[in-house]
Amino acid sequence: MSAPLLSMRDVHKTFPAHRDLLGRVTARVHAVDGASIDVSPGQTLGLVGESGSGKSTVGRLAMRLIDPDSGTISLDGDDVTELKGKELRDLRHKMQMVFQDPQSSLDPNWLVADIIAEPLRAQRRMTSGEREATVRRLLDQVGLAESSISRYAYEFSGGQRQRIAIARALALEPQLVVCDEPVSALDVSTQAQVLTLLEDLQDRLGLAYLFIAHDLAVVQHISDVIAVMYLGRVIEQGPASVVYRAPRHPYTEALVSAIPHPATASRRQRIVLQGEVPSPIDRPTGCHFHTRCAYAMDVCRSVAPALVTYGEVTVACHLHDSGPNLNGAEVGPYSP
Amino acid sequence: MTSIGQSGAKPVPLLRVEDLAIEFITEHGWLNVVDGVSFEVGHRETVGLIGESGCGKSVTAMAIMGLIGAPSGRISRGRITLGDSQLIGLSERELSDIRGNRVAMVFQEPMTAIDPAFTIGQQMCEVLRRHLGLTKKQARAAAIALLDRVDIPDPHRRIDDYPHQLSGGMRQRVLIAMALSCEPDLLIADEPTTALDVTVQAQVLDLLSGLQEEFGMAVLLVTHDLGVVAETCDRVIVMYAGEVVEEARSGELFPRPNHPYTAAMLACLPGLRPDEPLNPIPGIVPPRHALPDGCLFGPRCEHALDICRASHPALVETGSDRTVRCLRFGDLELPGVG
Repeated sequence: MSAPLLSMRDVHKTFPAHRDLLGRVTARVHAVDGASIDVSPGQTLGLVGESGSGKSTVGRLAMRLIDPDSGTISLDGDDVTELKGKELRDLRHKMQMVFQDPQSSLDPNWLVADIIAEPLRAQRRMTSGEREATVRRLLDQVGLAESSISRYAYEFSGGQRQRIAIARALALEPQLVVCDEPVSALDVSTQAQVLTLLEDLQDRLGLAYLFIAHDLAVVQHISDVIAVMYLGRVIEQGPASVVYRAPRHPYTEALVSAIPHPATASRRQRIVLQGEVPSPIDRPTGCHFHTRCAYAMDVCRSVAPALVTYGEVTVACHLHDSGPNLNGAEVGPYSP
Repeated sequence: MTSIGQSGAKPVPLLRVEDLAIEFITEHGWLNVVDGVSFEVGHRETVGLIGESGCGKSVTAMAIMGLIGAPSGRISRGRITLGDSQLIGLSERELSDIRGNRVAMVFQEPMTAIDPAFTIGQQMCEVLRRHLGLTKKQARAAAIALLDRVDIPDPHRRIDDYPHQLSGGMRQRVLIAMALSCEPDLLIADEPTTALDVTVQAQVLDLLSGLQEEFGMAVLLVTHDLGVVAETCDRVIVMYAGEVVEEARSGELFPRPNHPYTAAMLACLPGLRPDEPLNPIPGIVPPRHALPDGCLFGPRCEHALDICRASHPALVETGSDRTVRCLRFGDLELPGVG
């Protein structure tokens, strides 16, 4: 495997949750709790998990939009954890972001030309003619008509707006695009259009994606590698096909079993997890998942499982080293 | 009720929508957003209403609830019959007796459907006292029992919570509890799990199907999620650009779609064959002021011929409980799933 483009090692991030009268922090949200991920050049890492799992925070940390409490983030072999000011701005052209809701991430009253050219103005010295030529090329790349250049963002549908957002992200020719729920707000047909566009751009431009989503079917489709997060920790990571076919973590197993799909509706056994994701302020001891896990053992309540590698998959679950029944075995099959 | 006339006549359905047309005022004048929609929902049946945004499925659901009104919208044609009552043309007073008592609705975003300024107990008790005439004390006891029924832990305490103190999944359970409070015959659920995480979605779907069994309700599920429909619905109605284009039992629709639009939506679904590219439908649902000639799906249909552009197809019956609106029905082999 080639050296990773983006590498995050043991990254922690907490946010203040409550303060006392004097403004001292009395409780913290543990958003990311020692996560490590690698995104290879030209590949897609899918980051899945439920609301509150910390997946969006990982994306914002990768973009250096927020600073980690500890851990290292490197891009293309360079440690970028501590970069500030101009150096950080220079880093920005290597990575860009596409957000969930193009209604709110694009100013509806801006001309498409200005939206797409904005990063160029900030980063590159170009004549206005060069800028316009670049914008036209980008519009063509994302499948929008050249005439879009002089229209306003509000004139476009959700799917088209997401294309505009992608064009803007590509303006600086990044190596990595962090996509945070880029298709969640779209209809199934528009979603397929945008996913196909992202795949096509990856093939043509060699882009790497950190693709954050809660829709497991979408993530499975687009990802080479999948990382599953639960309460701030990556609990399973491996090739998409392996993780979906033979999930090793009981949480992954439940997530995969819960994907509704017409092809599997009649014969699938859904695992319905009880209760809800515990609070990231007051987390369970040991394995964070033990409060909802059907296989939980005593050790799970006291000791946090370490990430252990089996073949191409790493998993943090006691079942695989000290479990009586599922010792290293595949936990469950998934075949759509 | 016994059927009279030809053999095989169906029993009287719970809900019958006939030739429904709904108009809204737009910058292009009054435009039909739903045009000639007819379908039925039987007692205890679960029916899915699917299609992309802008196909008219939510508007149809709102019309059944009596929520289309002046000044922006109006029902311009058709009949909506619930049991033996005709819903169109009722006064607001008569409608509000039917809403809640006989038809109830659960919305997509529970935070906007619950008032953030009142506790969930206050809101539930208001419904119970208004519709069932319970005393304050009886209403509170009934509300706690309902919260317990929808698996809200610790309902005695939770009843005094404000909506913001509950998670999204909890709020959707509260909304379901409120919808069930008067034991409606028909529950309309508009994207009830779309805003929820997949594991919470599984919980809510399980809850809904358990409640449906217990209360003997019919459910009209409005959603764009084909997976959820396949999993929960007996019958599916596919809408496109304000019309019904296909209707079938779910067990038949997904493996053997008859309309190219249904097949095209299935081909858009990721997760089926991860290694194969998706097959997106080109273009978008046409805006109402610029509908194409002939078949409304024609411009996006990979099977469209000249005849499809020349004449608008009628909805034809192709079997028991099966209809399709496609001129090429019979000569197309469309791929399905499952």
